[in-house]
Amino acid sequence: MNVLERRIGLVFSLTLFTIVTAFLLELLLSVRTDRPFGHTQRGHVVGWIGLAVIMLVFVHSLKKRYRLKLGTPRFWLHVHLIAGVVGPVLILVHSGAHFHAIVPILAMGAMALVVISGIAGQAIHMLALRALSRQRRQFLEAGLDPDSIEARLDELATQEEVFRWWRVIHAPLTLTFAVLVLLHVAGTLYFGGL
Amino acid sequence: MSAAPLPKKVLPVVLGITSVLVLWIAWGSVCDPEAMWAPGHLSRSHTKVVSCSQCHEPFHGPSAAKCVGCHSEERFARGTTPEVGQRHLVFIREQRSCLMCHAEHRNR
Repeated sequence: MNVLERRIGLVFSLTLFTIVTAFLLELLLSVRTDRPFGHTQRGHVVGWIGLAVIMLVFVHSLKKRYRLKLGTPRFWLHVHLIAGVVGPVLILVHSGAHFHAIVPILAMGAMALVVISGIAGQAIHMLALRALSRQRRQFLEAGLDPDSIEARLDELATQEEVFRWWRVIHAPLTLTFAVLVLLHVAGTLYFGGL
Repeated sequence: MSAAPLPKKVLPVVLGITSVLVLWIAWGSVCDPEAMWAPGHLSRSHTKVVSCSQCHEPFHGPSAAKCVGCHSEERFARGTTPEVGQRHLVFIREQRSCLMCHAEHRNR
């Protein structure tokens, strides 16, 4: 098993462990109560907190698109990665392993696809960075000037095939996720009260 | 690093898929709103309830006033033991929430 396969195995195991732990936590919080945790007021509050944390991931995307002067890209990328995991984990605690209404199930499915594609994106990003580092060393050995190297690496990064395909999946899927979350929240408020 | 623009087909495809999902949810909300929105099945006692609005007030949740529409004072006086009937009459007259003791959509 090579390094990459071991890493994939580790990430898969950690993801599964996190999901199971979140569901077990919700089960624990539901013990000796007349209804599942997610159907209580505290459960709804956890859902709101999870949504607020998930909203933090968009700062990184907005900063990149509109070139906002708001902290460093590296900082907001880390916020994006951390909030992109912590937020969904809170949602798993909010929902528990209860699957009845189709709208929340669809929202959960869309969330899972976005998160999984995000985790895959981290791997793709890491591999792309390694390839760019190797290319930088080759350009330096070939004697190119620093500005020319940066311009060529920039061009290579934007054309990196796998990364481009990944963007086609991860970011657009967020739109579907956002619409389904909106419907789920609106439905909860409509039927459950403000 | 400036990101390359997404291929032109991506947004229409995603909008199409999302629209299909929304239309399906809208259709399901008319035909079977419980399957689309409810956290659990209604109890056996409420199988004759066909519309969400029979119990739910929009943006106010389940309404005690709607419960009393069927579970009225007369019905309690007629159909329950004196102790149960009396306790519920007090609750109805004081306009207390039925949800303090009763919950629905619990698959029971």
